[in-house]
Amino acid sequence: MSEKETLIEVKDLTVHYVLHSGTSEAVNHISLAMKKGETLGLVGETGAGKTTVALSIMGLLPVPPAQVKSGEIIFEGQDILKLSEKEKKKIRGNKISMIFQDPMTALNPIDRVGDQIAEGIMLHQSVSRKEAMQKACDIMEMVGIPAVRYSEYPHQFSGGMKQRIVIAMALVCNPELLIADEPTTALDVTIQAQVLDMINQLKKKLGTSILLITHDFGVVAEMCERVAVIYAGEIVEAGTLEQIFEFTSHPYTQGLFQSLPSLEDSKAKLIPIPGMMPDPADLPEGCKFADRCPVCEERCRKTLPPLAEMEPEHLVRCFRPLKAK
Amino acid sequence: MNQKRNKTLLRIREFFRLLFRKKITVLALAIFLVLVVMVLLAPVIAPYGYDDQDISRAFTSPCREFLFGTDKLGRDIFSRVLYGGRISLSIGIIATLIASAVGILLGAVSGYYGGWFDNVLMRLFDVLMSMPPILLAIAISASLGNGIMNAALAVIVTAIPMKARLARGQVLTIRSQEYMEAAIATNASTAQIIFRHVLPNILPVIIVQITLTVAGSITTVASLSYLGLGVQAPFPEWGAMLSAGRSYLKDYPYVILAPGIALLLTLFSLNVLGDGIRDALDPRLKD
Amino acid sequence: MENLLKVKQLKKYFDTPGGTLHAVDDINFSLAAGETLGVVGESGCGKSTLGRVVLHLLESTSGQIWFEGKDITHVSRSELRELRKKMQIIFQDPYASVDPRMTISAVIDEPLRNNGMKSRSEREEKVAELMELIGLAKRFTDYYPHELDGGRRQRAVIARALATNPRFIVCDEPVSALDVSIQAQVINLIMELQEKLRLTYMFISHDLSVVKYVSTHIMVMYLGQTVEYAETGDLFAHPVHPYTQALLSAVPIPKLGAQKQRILLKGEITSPIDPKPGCRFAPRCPRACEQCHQEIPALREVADGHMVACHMV
Repeated sequence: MSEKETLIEVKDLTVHYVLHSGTSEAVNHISLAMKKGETLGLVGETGAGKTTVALSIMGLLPVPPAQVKSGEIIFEGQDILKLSEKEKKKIRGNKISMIFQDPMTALNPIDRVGDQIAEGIMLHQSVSRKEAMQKACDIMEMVGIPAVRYSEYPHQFSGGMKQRIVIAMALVCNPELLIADEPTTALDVTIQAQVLDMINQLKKKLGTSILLITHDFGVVAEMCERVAVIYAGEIVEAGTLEQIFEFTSHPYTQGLFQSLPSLEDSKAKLIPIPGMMPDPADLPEGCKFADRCPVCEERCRKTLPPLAEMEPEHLVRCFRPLKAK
Repeated sequence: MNQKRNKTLLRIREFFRLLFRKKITVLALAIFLVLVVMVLLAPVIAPYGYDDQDISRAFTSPCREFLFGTDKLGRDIFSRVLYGGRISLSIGIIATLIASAVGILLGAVSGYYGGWFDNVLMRLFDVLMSMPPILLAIAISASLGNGIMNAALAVIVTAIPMKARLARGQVLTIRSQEYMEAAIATNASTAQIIFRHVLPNILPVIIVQITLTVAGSITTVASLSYLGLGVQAPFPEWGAMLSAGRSYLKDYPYVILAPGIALLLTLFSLNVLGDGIRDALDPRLKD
Repeated sequence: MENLLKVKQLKKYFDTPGGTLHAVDDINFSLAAGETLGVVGESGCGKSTLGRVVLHLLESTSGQIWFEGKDITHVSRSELRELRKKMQIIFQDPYASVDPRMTISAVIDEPLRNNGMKSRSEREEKVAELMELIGLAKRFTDYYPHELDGGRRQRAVIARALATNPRFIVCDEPVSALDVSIQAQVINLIMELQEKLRLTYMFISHDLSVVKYVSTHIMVMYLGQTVEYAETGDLFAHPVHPYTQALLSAVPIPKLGAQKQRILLKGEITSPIDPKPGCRFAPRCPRACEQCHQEIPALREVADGHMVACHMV
């Protein structure tokens, strides 16, 4: 896998939200690299900074209040953060697209769904209206919606179907990178299974790289090759699926696993992580997880542990990692 | 409990901080307060009585003695504007408060219970609201006869449907909240629900609306008086003064200048203040 | 064991502009004191409505409800007041279920005031006691809800539900709005309270792993009807109904190599408005036959205490 070409690289990204009530340090020195065709899971809880990372890549950060304090995002040899709005528009929706948790935010309620898909094609490709419509029909079939429903409106579709349409819209220009922000969280579990299955099949067919943002380790296990766990705006652990699931090293990652009731093992007791995530407007000095950590020591509160390589590809930000291969 | 009081204080301070974020709101509040103080202190400030006539000095141009000049009967316009403001402002404010109290209660009950009561009331208000408010006020005022009280009554009746509508809409939103269900599940009575949950939650919206309605009510009273339906001579009222002055507009424009500016400043400050309060109370606009 | 709650042929229909919505359609179960009935199903299956009908927050269309051996289907106002002290509810969204203008102590205090505890000092004492019980530090007494995170708010909601010393609590998706690490805290709290206060729960959730963790019995609902009912271990070990099987297979497992053969269902949930005759699940069922489209299958016992509504088993 490591021979594959790097598609996008986020280097040392720091994004703060400067508000009247204080500065919220949403993302602090995050670095990520994605290879072509791979699916990276970005796991974390509400407010950990997952969506801010995604919006930075999309060039959709709300500025102000957001401020990029440091870092670059290298995509095809250029820094996305430095591009003009016009240049960003060329990339957005064309080479990088994004789908959100709530499909309704992406669909125009008074426009026919087929036209909405075709519009995206015409925006980025020089094709006639007729060709665009044909393409829209093709992609609808591909995500499992009969092309005869081209002229229907969003409210005529169920939640799962709407999410399929949104995915079709995101994939229609054959992007290099698809950012999926909790794409199935709002869906019922049987529908989630259908949509995940579909995304996996499309990925095989089109070779799209996917940045999957989720809080659900079950979805990660099913979809991803590599995982990055993010806590209070920092990556605390990153590695391959196997490294994260089998050789969990950061106490936070382990805490997340132990907080999950299991379908398999009925006797395992839930071990919650005590306390809560620190306020991003008032982050502690040392390790951000220190207050909730079962193995916290004196130095953890004073100095921020570096993101150290435990073994190739397995990065852990902890002075006392739990175990390694 | 002490901590709780501190919190309330903090909230109030936060409210004023947000309110004064915009310079124009500060200006509006200052204008309004100055107007109110001047009007309240009319007997002290005014150099003359509001009906001190002296035909010999009729239509004196503004000068040191008569700040805004005199009218056709030689009455000091400055003094009349001050006394007139007492009537304009007090009718505006009192009528709005009465209309709001009645309207909110009707709207809240109607929204909370729904059913036939809601239906009848809302259709009645539909009828009232289908007429332009000023026409409605004129109709009511004209049928009841001239006079301050009747003008005030006209203003109140005109304003009630809007208030009730607003309150009803707010109540419907709040009614569907889960905390209402929780209150029912813990045996809260209807009165407890309305006074503990519904009213405190709709109050911010209502306060904003009240500020804006005061401006509307002052306009309506002035309009009625302008048409000769409201305040009667010799009592000064801004609308009535405008009306009386309009025949001399060409030769002595200053006779309407002072009441016009007073009216304008009042309406401007109330509208800007209303906007400011709305922004300060809406948590989504906090930063 | 004593049956605390029993429900027989319970129905709740709603009139909608599109026709009659069969939200709860002929539900039967009984629940012994100290047990937890997990109710699972996808959105629109009527599980929340069922909870509200049992609590008299919604009037049932037909059927019967017994509580503590007494028929409570139709009760007078004063009987309802007494009943509501014993039956409570915990909601899904800790943001919507507390009044944003009340402090945490006022939220917990409300049921005490509503139920005639007059003395202020007595109430303050009880609020403090409840806050300690659910693990909310004293300093939060005068906080407003928006100043607390979801987990702490949900604790306050639980305290409010416990204020009148109920015996039975409907938990309507109590943890689904919470983050994973907080979710585990609240689940553990709910279970500790059950032991300490001898509570009986009806635990409504779409999350099968959570339901499995907390429940003694599980009822799987589909479009207003029970498709399967069994003891928790039994249901997960031997799911019989095709819908239950598909549901279980659809849950993504957070473990490597744990992915089982998935049963992918066709289509999506159909409308509960004026449902067609026959099994509600038939249009999506991989095993449906002619009979399934014509007759509603009855809930029958296929093994000891294991009920299934399916023609094909």
